[in-house]
Amino acid sequence: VTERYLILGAALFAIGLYGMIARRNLLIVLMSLELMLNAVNLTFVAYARQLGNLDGHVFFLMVMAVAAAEIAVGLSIVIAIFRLKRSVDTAEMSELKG
Amino acid sequence: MGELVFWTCAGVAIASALMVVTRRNPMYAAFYLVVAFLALAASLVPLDATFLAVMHLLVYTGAIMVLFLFIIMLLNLGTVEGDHEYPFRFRLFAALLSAAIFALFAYAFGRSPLGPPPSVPEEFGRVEGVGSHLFRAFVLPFELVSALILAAIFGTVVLARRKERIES
Repeated sequence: VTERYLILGAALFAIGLYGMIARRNLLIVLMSLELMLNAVNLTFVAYARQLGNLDGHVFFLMVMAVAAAEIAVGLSIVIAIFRLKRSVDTAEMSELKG
Repeated sequence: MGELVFWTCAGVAIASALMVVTRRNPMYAAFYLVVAFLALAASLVPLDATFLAVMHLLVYTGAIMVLFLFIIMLLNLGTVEGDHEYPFRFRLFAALLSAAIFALFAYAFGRSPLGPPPSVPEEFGRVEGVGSHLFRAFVLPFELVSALILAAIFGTVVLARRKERIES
């Protein structure tokens, strides 16, 4: 019964991966990242239930805290980039290209 | 009951996740992401993770998505994005890559059946169980999270501050 939760997590992870690779809007890339983190969290919880061990739940909380911090910093980077370039298109951020 | 909850949540979550990665307007994508998060939080309940389901609702739907919507409205990006997309061939390649990753995971998960999950004590996944486990076995990581959040606060303030002198 646990396998279907794992499959659901894998499906959401794959969808998030597609969003990260194929989209150029920085905000949607960040949203896809959140989706991937959530997919992994679901896998943690499914395995915690399967093994009867609460370590997975603690990891869920840690990942959630890191995700919240990451989104706060990521969105302020988005604001800084938007002020600089008037755009959030990832393909236009090529200053580091040699 | 668990069956019904799972299939409803799985359908809603996957459908809205697909909408998130295909919408042009980031505003619509954010709203679909809210729906996906609601479905994900509900899908935690049959796994006996009621505390995490509530925390997920509070943090993701209540805090992170509100932050996203604020930023999208603040930057007024709703109508900016036009035809700035990668060519179709590249997107097809990305979709095939993601499908391959999914197939790999599904194969790995399907190969070794796990059997029925064991019965767990009453406090499994509730505030009591998760809290005592967190404060007994994971005190140091818990304290380090506070340092991380402090660093994130400083980073956010420094990055988002308007630098008048440099710009002009």
